Amino acid sequence: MALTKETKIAQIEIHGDYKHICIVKDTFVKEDGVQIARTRHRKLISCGHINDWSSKTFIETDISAEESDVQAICNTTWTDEVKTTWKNKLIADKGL
Amino acid sequence: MAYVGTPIDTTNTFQSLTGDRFDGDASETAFTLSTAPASTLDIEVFVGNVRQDPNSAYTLSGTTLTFTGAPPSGTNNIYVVHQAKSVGTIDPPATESVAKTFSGGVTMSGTTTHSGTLKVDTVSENSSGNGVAIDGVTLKDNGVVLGTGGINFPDSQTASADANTLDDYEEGSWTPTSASISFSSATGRYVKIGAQVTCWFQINFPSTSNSSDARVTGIPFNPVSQNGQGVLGNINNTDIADVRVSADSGNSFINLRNEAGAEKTNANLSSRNIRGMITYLQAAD
Repeated sequence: MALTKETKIAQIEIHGDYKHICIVKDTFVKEDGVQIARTRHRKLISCGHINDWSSKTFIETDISAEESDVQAICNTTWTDEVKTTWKNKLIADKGL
Repeated sequence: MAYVGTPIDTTNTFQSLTGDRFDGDASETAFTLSTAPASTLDIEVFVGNVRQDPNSAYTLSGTTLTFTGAPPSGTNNIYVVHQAKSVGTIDPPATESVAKTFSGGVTMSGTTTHSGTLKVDTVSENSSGNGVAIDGVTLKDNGVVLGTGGINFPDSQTASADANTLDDYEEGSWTPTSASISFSSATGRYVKIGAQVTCWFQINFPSTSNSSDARVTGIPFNPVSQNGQGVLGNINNTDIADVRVSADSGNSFINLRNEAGAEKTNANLSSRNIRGMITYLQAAD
């Protein structure tokens, strides 16, 4: 009886006007190759954030640790226009 | 001599007619046949080689042939020819490739195996109160009774616009993160029912003087325009008891704010352990 655990990207979703990307990963537990359990993990990431409201400097999200598939989609989806739109929303929400 | 017409069928075989013979004694009127005819017209009855009128000379009850008058004495002077005897049972063919229509209904017992598409408009229970069971799921009294399998929604939701349709269920984990600091530790779980998302989380803030907003990223779903609200169930310092949790429209994070709505900074939560939950609606994109 051999138990194995394997994690795979199940879905990469693109959401809304700001193109947030949700990375959905499934972890499969198998016994002798037959799946006996599955768990799901989700993570929503945006194209960037602002830490310093005085300078309003937009810091792009570091995706270097993500899988290559995720990086490719992020690089394609997060255009300068998307980043600007998202940055402007963050500033507007902050009331600045 | 040559014949005209369809040749005699020599391929198929035919059942021979059968008959019964009896001895008359001038007193006995009832005789037992080897086979029960369906009617008096299904047999030919002869007494002394004279055919008897099937409408008046005898009657039938099962295998009992009863004459209206006792036949005279004689050896084998009574004989009966079965003209319409049932000679056997014909089973339906094991396979049938020709389409059939059964307008009178079909009754079957045992297991029926069907390949291809079975199309029906209505399936009704056969026994009152039993319902209709399909692979462990019972449809009964306008409801559904589940077995041990539960309801399995597709991995990817197909959102329904109908207000009364439950189109998704999912449970899983998420990892609270921060864009400005690294949490000492953080765990999260979520359950999504339809468009409703509920997230539970526990975050250990490091000792930090970071003045950036304490925003928690990595949430499992993006919030819709109706802002989500949540509660913190435990904070290990009463000085920050006024921390509120909210998820704002279109954002990819949840906010930690005070009662007045101002965002908490990471420094405000330095070395704090917070546990909480928030419920919001997922954006429909």
